Amino acid sequence: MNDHPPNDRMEAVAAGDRDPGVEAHLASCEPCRAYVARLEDAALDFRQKEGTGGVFLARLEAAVSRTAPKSRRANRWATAVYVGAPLLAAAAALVLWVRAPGWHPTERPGSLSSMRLKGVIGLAVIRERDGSQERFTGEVSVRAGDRLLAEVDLDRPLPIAGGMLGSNGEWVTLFSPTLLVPGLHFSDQAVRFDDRPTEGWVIVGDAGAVERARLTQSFDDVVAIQVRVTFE
Amino acid sequence: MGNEAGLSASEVGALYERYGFFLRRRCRMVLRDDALADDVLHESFLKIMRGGAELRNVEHPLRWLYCVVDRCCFDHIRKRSHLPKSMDVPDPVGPHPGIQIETRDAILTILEELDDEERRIAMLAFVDGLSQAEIAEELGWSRVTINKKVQAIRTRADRILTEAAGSTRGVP
Repeated sequence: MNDHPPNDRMEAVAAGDRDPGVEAHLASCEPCRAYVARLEDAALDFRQKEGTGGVFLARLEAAVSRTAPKSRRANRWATAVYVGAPLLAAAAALVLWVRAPGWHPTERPGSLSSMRLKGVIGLAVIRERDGSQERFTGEVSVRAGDRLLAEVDLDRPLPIAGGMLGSNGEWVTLFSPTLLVPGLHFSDQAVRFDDRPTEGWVIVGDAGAVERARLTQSFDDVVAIQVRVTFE
Repeated sequence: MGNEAGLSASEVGALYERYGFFLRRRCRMVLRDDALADDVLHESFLKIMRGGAELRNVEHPLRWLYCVVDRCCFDHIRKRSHLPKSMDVPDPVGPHPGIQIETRDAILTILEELDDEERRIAMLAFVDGLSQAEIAEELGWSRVTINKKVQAIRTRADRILTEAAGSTRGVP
């Protein structure tokens, strides 16, 4: 078909896989080298937006647990009775170990560990700009005129509250405190950014945790997505 | 979370971090709808989490993942009568240097008209740029069969391109 390696193998190299055949070709083919460089840049941008993919994973795990057969769920509970205590002890030991002095976590709010802390709440934000919508599960950038909605995915009934906390302490409610059933929910309210947009965080959790997060700007007990301002 | 047939959450997380961009780009290219692409990506990873243990032993993981993602996309193509003709936001990366973008886009437009076998061949030939020999080896068919099918798909794509060119000429 052509003298270049297949697309999927070039993309695999751009993803970080080793492929001596493709790498040898890249050394002598400028168009392919440029193509792989563009792929690498775009993939890096995606990873920066997605963070560790914690929200995506949490949604997957929620979906897996939602669709698990009931008998398996029952077995899981039975298993939990037998193995739960040792596992809990191990988990507690792990927490003590990672919290030891000298260990400095660098994860952003809303990444995998904070997601799991709360069971499974999948959070995404929908940005409306110039009539089109885009969904973000990592950091989102906004500019004047944008609107943000929140999307929450639950695998069990949970009392939920949420909103956007500006870096200046301003609060805009997106989810009034309410009991949400399992499934996907969109906020009934939206944040609209005027010509002087404010950075901050979209946060969701139970009402008490959200209230504490608003006061302390510590997001250990809520799920959060950072909102940044761009001036394009 | 892991089981014998599936992958653990940490394995899936690592796959998402490494290949997530490429898989989403593939979904977006085939479905031409951002929200649907996100849904299909999610669905694909669900399948991988439940039954993707085989991935640990494959030579080209991304090709294997594309196969899963393509099948999920094809399922949605079957369910939906019409997909958008083009993306609102074009792919910023651009095409592989060996692929004719007009032909590729025409092929993507006619995926809805093809059966699953033809779709798989179309993706390998016109999106991934595999030679007919490579496709024959990948699918375990004879090269003659692949050649016939590729030519038939190309003829249909050429018809689309000719029609598109005609309608463009008709625009004042």
